[in-house]
Amino acid sequence: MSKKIDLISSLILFFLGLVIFLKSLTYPIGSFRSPGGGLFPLLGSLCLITLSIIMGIQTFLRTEELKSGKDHFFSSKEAPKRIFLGFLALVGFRYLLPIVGFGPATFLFIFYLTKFLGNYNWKISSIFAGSTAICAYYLFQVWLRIPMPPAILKF
Amino acid sequence: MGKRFFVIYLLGSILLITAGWGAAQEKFPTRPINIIIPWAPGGGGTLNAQTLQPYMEKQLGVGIVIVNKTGGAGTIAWNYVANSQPDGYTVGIVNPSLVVTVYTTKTGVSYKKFDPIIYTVGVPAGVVVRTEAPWRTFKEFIDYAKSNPGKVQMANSGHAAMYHIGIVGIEMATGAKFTHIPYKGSAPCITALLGGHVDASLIEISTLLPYIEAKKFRVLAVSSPTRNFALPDVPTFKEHGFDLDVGTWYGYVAPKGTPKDRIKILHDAFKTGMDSKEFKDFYKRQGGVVEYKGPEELGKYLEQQDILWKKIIDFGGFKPEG
Amino acid sequence: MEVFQSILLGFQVALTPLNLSLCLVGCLIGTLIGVLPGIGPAATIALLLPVTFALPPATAIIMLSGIFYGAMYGGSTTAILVNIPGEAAAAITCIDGYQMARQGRAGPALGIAAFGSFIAGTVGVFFLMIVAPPVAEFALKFGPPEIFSIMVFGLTILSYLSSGSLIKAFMMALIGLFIGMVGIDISGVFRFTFGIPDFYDGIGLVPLLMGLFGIAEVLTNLEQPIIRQVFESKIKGLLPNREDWRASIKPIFRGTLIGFLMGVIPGPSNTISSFVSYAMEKRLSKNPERFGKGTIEGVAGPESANNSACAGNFIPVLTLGIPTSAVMAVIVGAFIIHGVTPGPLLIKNNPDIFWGTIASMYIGNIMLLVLNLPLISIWVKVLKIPYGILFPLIFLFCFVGAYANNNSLMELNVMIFFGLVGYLMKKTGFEPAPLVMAYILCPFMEEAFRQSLLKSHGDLTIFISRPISATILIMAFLFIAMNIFTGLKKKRKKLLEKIELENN
Repeated sequence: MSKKIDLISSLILFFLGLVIFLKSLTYPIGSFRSPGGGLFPLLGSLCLITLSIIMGIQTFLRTEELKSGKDHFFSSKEAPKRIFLGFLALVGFRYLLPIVGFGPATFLFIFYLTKFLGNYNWKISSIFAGSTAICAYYLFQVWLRIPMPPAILKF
Repeated sequence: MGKRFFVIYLLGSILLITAGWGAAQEKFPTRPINIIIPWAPGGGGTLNAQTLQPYMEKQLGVGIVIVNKTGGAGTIAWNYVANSQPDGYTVGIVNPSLVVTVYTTKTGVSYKKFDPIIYTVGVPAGVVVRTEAPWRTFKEFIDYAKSNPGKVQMANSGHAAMYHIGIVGIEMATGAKFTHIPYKGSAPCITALLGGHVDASLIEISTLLPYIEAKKFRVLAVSSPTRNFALPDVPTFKEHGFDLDVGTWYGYVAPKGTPKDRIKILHDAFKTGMDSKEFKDFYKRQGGVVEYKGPEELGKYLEQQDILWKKIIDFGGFKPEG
Repeated sequence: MEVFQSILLGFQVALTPLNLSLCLVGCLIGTLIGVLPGIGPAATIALLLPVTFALPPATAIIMLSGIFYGAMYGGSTTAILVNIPGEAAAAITCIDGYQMARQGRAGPALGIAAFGSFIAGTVGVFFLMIVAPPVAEFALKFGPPEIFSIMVFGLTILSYLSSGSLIKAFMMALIGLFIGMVGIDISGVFRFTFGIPDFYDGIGLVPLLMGLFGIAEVLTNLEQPIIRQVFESKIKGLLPNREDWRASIKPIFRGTLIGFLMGVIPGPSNTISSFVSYAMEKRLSKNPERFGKGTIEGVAGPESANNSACAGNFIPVLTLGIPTSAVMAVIVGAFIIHGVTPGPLLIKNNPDIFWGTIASMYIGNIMLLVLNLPLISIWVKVLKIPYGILFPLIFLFCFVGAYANNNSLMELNVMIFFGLVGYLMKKTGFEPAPLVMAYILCPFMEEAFRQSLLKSHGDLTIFISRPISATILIMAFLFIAMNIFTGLKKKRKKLLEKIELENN
């Protein structure tokens, strides 16, 4: 791992430990003999803070150059955009589900993914999305009878 | 041109009217009904619904879908039902935890947010010890606990869960003081009791019967107002001077505002299931008291339970958490 | 011997045409849902329970148990093929199994998983048959202090679960600890729930696993603009070859032993046993650095462990009527609804069901092996589907699985969140295995710790004064000491070599 990435990681983990430390103080701590809800998180967060400091120091003392880790982080130029699109698809599907129901949401989701991330053309994407949506509907809703989130727009 | 338009308009209105008329006279039910269960499959609630399911499906002519929505001590499922469309297609199952969680969690749902349908069965809770335990009667047990506060270790199925509060209720009524050891659910309590890691527990007798038969456990007292048919020699709390109906029971409810005729249809379907031989036999093996309470009676019972549990909760100092 | 007479009775029950065919049906369904991540055996068994009402009790139990072991077999399939563990116990299989798939060795991986599961399952049932009652009694002696000690012992193997930096592994374990702490604790305090009722019982295992392993893996692969073949197109064999077998035979037997012993102990025994097996194989291997890159021992051991743990799981159910996990609870429910009272008297009151179930476990294992082997060629073909078409399907399956787990949309959020987290972890060199291990272990450990102190009224010596607990703790301590010793020895050796090199 590049030095820059490791330094950032240790910093993030340090702050995470700090946040958990502060939150665990709001729970009853009790004592070691009669532990309250906050004791274990407290100890854990202290360990995390300590370890992140150690990691930070170890990374700093490494003899590498503090190069820009940017081009090593993502394995391709378009990676950030693609990951963002993928993430968007996941969130979109999740929020579309209760609005349009399983069938239509699946169609849109698969279509979007196949077209924009799989780089297939409109025709292939829509055929694939359509057939997947139909098969999925039959497999999950009719055959396996898995209750799906009730949709507001009833299709 | 105008004539064509007129014909379309006429056809359209006829369609609309028939559709509207159809909707107003819409037969209930025309699609599957969901029973939302707040606990994991395999437990008492799911088994209750599953035993009734085939009879209801036959009577109503639609599928009954059992949906397990666990979490939040049951409040997730109950909130979901309370906020569902009151069209009769969403039904919830409830037990004493419904009224308990109103006071012990921040997400509890008041029973007033539901229209009760039917009460099906009650399973009393029993104070249980191992057969090798030194206490032969409930009185001996309580006397020992009173003179040795904190010495008797009682397993409960979860902090601020029904049976924990039930045990606190016993403390309230008798003045005994136990040490409460919380576990996650009834099964670990049984394990702990079998292994000798705790002295006693308060558990529904349906779970206890196999161990009583195997001579591993002894029940000292039961919570029902009258003696239970499966344990005729075991005295009740009432016989010891206090009435604490802290056993479990199962009833069904619908979101408030569900049309009364639909509630009646659901109620009749449930009742058919209740009257079946399978249902009666199932609970006969479990020590469950199959009892019928209609919508009004269930509503009154919920009110009584609310008062009872609140009393114990206030005594125990439980605060809403979440 | 009486046992063998009884098992003959059991086979009589299990070998009727009705029971045989329904055992097959159960195994088929189990395999299918095992492959569909998230739709676990518990939910399926519960779903199919009403269907079994018309069947005689023995048949119903046989079919439902078939679903259970079928799911165990199927769970490793997705772990190997697409890095999605079908259940927590398969999470460890992801580590080396998926890497093997990427190298074109999915066939051998699936094959050794199937064979290992079969051997372990059969041997496990055999042990179950012979030692069930005394083992069950022994397991009862495990109270909170003993459970705590076992969990501590489990944590000592943490360092074996990662092939990278130890500090990073420990920090991941701490993160797992915190995730495991979300929800209500033993004293009724709601921790880290931020008022969301879906978190009251903690963050679900299924969405966590699917996000951390499945979604994260797909996201990582999505970085490429034209998605290259993720899986090596040249398939190197459909079944394990002789070399694979030679390497796997000892891990399989070690895994079987570990799995069975741990399966009886209440708690997350299946998962822990697979982790312990992995650690053991890594420890005993002559080339531990190969682990994590696709070694077959990393699949053979854990898979065997979790299958014999399943046999172990049945012991408390069949001898005492106590379920040790959600799936077992549903099986107990199935018993009850069919009028069979599970409990200490099951073997006396319903010997046909008791022995019939055991006999059907042998048969089920054989059926599953026969079912799964030909499927390998199909699975391997699935991997040849262009990734651009495959990955949307993987995403879809993850969604359906995560939702079906508890009918909760919130769990989808959890899955997506951890998908992102898992992706970032992969990019920054942090591994998920220690996290998952700690997430599973630590809540049990903390609960056992606090229960023990409640029992002893604050006396910390309870962990050492009880014999079993003390023994386990001593073993854990010795284990750590041994590791430090070997570690120091290695460092010394390296230092000496370096000095020698410089001198020459």
